[in-house]
Amino acid sequence: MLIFIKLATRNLLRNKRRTAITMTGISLGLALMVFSNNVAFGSHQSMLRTAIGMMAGHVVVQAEGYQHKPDSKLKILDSGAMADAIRAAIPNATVTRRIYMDGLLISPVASTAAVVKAIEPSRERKVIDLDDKIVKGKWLADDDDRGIMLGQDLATRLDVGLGDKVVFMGQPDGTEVESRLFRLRGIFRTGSPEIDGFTALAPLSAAQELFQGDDPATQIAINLPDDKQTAARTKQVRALVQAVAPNSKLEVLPWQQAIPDVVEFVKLDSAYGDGIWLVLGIIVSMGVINTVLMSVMERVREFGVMMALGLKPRKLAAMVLTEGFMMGAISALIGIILGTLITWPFMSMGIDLSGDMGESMEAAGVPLSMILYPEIDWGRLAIYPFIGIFFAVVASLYPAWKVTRLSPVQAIRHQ
Amino acid sequence: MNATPIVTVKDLTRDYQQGTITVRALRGVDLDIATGEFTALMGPSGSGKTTLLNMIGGLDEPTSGTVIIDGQDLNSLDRGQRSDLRLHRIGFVFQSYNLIPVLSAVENAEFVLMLRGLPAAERRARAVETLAAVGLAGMENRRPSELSGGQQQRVAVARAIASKPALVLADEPTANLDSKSGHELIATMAKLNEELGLTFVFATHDPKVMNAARRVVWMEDGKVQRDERK
Ligand SMILES: Nc1ncnc2c1ncn2[C@@H]1O[C@H](COP(=O)(O)OP(=O)(O)OP(=O)(O)O)[C@@H](O)[C@H]1O
Ligand SMILES: [Mg+2]
Repeated sequence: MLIFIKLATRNLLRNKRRTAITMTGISLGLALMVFSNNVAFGSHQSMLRTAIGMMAGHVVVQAEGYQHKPDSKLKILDSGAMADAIRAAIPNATVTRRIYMDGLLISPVASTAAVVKAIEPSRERKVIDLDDKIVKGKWLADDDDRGIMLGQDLATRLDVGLGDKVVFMGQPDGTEVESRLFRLRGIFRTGSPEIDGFTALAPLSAAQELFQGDDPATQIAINLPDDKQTAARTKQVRALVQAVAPNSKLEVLPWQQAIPDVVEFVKLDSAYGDGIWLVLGIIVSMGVINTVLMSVMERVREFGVMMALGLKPRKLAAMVLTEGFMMGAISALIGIILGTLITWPFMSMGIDLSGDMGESMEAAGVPLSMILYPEIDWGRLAIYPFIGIFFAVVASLYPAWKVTRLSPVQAIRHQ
Repeated sequence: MNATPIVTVKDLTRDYQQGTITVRALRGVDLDIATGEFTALMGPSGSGKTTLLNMIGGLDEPTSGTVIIDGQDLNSLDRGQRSDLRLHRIGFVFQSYNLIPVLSAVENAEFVLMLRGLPAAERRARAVETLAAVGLAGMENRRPSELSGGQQQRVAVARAIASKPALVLADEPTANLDSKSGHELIATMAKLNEELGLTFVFATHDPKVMNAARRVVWMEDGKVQRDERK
């Protein structure tokens, strides 16, 4: 075995330039792959963070069936007590309640369908990350139960300005038609047409008045300091909810289940990226096949002599594969280090896309930042060496197979 | 000589197909080689010397007939078994470019021992000793490209004999050497034959080899024409 490594090393060094070119190809391909994956990973992570804050929480509590078929009739009663119990159990979490209501928003001059998301203003502010997206006015005050904020396109359609009256009308509890008067306090713009065109924010207390029952809420969102805790906290909250309200029918979901569309989008987008890299990997492999084949063909006579001496063709093939393996392993290492080094400066600097891609982007209803911050995808980083080795070894399979077909007599006649 | 034959060749033929033409390289060869013999195969170019050596070494398969090495019929062995037979019983020396270029003289000399799985220290000692026996003491660490043609051939001989094979097959080992180097190489092999009783079979055009040989087998048109013992 040792002799194979010795032979492989020396044979790789025999044509230093060819080896260097091949290894540079693998390294650069892998470095690019690492970098672009870090960019994609960073943007996916940021998208998920935004979506978790804005559309769910790391863990959400809802009435049973709400996830499957959202309807404002499905509500949590005594939600304040439940939220307090969760806060007491998980002190470092931000726990906030919401009511989602469909209905009409009516201004003196127009009316339009909209979703009112009723929130606890100061708590919500910590998780929704909307401060720098307020284009007019300001964030809702906790004690202002007539305040409302509108997405920019929604405000334009209703043709209202700060301080103007806006009336919500709907059937939130599924019984009587209710209405409530608000005054416009602020206008926000996220870049997501769905949010900017159809979402209004109002205080929870105001929305609660439109429902029967004590202290209702559609959702309790629990935002954790670290996503790694999600699974454990989901279990904990599930047990807690059982203990606090054994008779209420509630569902406790981790974000993966609460925002499945976003999760699906990220999966698809990663798979798409991986597909592109697979194609690139195959192209790089063609180059590797070519160089390994060339170096093998130059050594046909040598192989013939070795076979005559009693080296089995299978071992000869192992020798060729060892060369591929070593090339792959070393190039993979270089590629990974290089890719990570390229990522480094962009992690704090970011990659600004606002020039090329317009002013805003959204995907799966989630507004995206125009500045991408790559993040090192450690989980993937551990896999890359195997990808490099895999492609190099697979590319050596054909030349190795050719070697096993050599007849020693023909090989020795070969000059 | 009437010692047990190490090689028995019976009615051996080998046809090569070249397009539509069948080249009959061997047309029924019968030959016995006894242990300890020093035999030269002579004959004009194309008479089948190399083909016969390859058959004896199990590198190529006959069209008909049998080769028996040390009691084993090569026809009954598969590729891997023939490979093992070569590894354990036969040493090879070819006309040129015998050596593995990336290995030093001593690494080349110990290559077969390594394939046989001898412990590193033991095979190194034996390779060094064998290199000295062929007159290459002090050149152990040179690469083939740093050796003359004659020295390279002597490394090849060292490699062939270091493993103490029952039989050494050499195909024109002196063809690419100058007269002096050729003489030295033959003298080295003759000495190994005498002192260690190693069996050698050469295919050659070289009269020096013929003079050193104690048996000369003359071939023509794929047949043994004459078999002389001195
Ligand atoms: N692989 C092959 N394919 C086709 N014909 C071959 C092959 N090998 C040998 N021959 C033919 O078989 C015949 C015998 O060849 P061989 O090499 O055994 O002769 P030789 O006596 O060794 O000649 P030389 O002295 O030139 O080395 C020749 O006619 C040669 O052309
Ligand atoms: Mg010949």
